[in-house]
Parts: sequence; structure tokens; C-alpha cells
Amino acid sequence: MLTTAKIGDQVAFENAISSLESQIANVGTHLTVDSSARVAYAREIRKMADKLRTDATCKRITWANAAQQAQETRNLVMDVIRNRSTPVGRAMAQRLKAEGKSLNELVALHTIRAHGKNAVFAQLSTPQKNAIYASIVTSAGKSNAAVTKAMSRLSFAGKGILGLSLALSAYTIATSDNKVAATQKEAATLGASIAGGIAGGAMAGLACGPGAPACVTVGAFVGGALAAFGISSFW
Amino acid sequence: MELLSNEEFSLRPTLMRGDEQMPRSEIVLQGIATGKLIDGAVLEAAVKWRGGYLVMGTDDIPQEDTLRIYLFDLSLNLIDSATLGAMYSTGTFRDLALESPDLLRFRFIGGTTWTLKILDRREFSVPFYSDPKGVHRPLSFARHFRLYGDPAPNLNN
Repeated sequence: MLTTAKIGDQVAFENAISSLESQIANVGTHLTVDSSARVAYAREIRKMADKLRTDATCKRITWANAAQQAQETRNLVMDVIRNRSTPVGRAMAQRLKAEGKSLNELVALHTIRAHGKNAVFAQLSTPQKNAIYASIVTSAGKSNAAVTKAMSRLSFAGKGILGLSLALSAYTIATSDNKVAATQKEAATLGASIAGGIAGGAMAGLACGPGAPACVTVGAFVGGALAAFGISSFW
Repeated sequence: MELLSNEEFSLRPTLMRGDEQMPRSEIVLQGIATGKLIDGAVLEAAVKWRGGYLVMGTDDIPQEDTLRIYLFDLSLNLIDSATLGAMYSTGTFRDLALESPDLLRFRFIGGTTWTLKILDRREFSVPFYSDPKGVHRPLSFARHFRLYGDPAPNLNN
């Protein structure tokens, strides 16, 4: 016959295991969200460059305007990071202060590359100038392919981890006596873990300051674990 | 240390198949193609150091550029390498200053002046710990140059 203390220990152990299982969903969600944001970033800047090139070719805007607008890609990057990343992804993006080139620097650079080190942009013909602007627009649509590939692999891993988490939950529900209660508990624990992970990461970001991905990752893990443990204990 | 001219040391980008690949270039010494390929598209600086060459190049990705640093011996055998950069951030190579036989400074990313010191011999280093943030190296417990810098975070993202 089990004593009250032993039953209490068993419940605490099961809650700890349940919160650990839900942490798998937390990790999987972070990986999936941030890798999807990366893929979206690569797609959006390429789309932007293609649109600018089309607009300039169709003479809806000048090539100079297209190059100027391509310089504003940074806003698109920030938009993707702010709206589609987790706190961990945002902390990764804030890691190092950017030192981008001004439009004038890009014009000078592309002029030298195309016409030699003594070339001066102002002395080029209009078609030559437009070709320089066009090359700037094309460059603006490029992203670091190695990073995008690595993040795509993480996306697969994230989805796999999420699948594993759902499979574990399905097993728990299938082997429980009260399937309705088990389903509610699993859904609440997984939801709490993911929400707690996002909230924990955001709080760690506030505490550690910008550009501290290691700290934010720890915060996301702790936040997810605490929330999941709290919910499963409450149940 | 001696800064090499484009006639002495240059990079010839290899043909790329679409945007899915990172740019690579062949080293050209004194106008002669060497067959030696490195990552990167734009040569930012090539410095003759007493035991070889220090090569610094970028990928020509304006919104997300990476500085690639290679240390070669005189036969173009790779001695050490590192990259400097971060996802969603970018850098511009500028203000290169050769300060002593083994030391140079430059700016690239992080709002800081980076210092690179070439060592006489390889020294022990701890992966992921011995370099400032933003510096990445192939997994190894030894290095032949050190990088110093105090990069600031990106507050605009």
C-alpha cells in the first residue's frame, strides 16, 4: 500500500517529467519560429530587389530611386526580426552593431569594380550609371546563403522536435485512464511551456540587455520549465 | 608587415550557381592564378607578413557581410582562419592601419576598432571562449592570430 508521502513524491516526479516533456515543445517552437523568420527574411529581401528591378526596367521609377530604396532593406530586416522572431532570435540579431555602407560608398565601390580604380561615377554615361545602380539593387537582394541553409536545417530539426513532443503527449493521453482530463492537461502544459518560454526569454532580454542570446536562451528555458511545472502541479 | 597592391595579390571570384551558394574566389599572385580557393568575393586587404600572407575578404552581401580572415604561409598553405560577423548584421571594412610587424587594426562591425595580432607560434585557445563575440573559427584548440575588440550590440533591431 502506498503511503501519502510516496504518492506525493510520485505526483511531483510525474509533474517534473511532464514539464520536461513540454520543454521539448518549447525548444521545437523556438527553432521553428526563428528558422521560419530567417527563410522569410531571405525571401522578402530577394522579392524586394526583384520588384525594384522590375519597376526600374519598366520606368515606373528611376534606377537611382531603385538603388536608394534598396538601401532601405534594413527596415525590412528589422520588420522581420521584430514581428516574426522569438526573443532568442531577436537577441541573436542584436548581437553586433551593424556598420553598413552608405549609398555613396556603394556607388563608389561598384563604380571601381566595374570600371577600374580610377573611375569616377560622375564621369560615367547615363547607361553606365544605371548599370551601377542596377548592380546595387541586385546586391541588396542577397542574404547570407550559409546562414539561411543552416537555419533551414534547424527548421527541420524544430519540426521534428515538435512532432516528438506531440507524439509523447499522444502516448500519455492514450495510456491514461481519463483521456479527457489527460488531453486537457497535456494541452495546458504544452501551451504554458511555449508561452512561458517566450515570456521568460523576453524577461531575460530585459534583464541582460540587448544582444545576449545565451542569457535569453536560458531565460526561455527556465520560463518554459517553470510555467509547465506550475500548470502540471496545479492540475 | 606590408600592404600588397592589387597587382601583387588579388582574388578572382569563381562562377556561382545561383543565390544558394556562398561566393568563393581564387587567389591570384603577381597576376598568376594559383588554384587556391577561399570563401569570399571581395578582397579588402592582403598583407605580406614575414612568414606568409594575411588575407581579408568579404562576401559582397551589403546587408549581411562577413569578414573572412586567412593566414597563409608563403606557399599558400592555410595556417589559421577566422570570420567576423553576425546574422542580420553587417560590416564595412575600413581604417586599416599596420602598426607593428605583427599587429594591425581595422574597423568592420560592432562599433569598435578590431586589433589583430599575428603570433610567432601557435598557442592554445578554447573554442567559443577565447575570442570576442562575433568572431568564429573552425573548431580547434590552437590559433596563430588573436583578435581583440569590444563590440557593441545592435540597438536598432
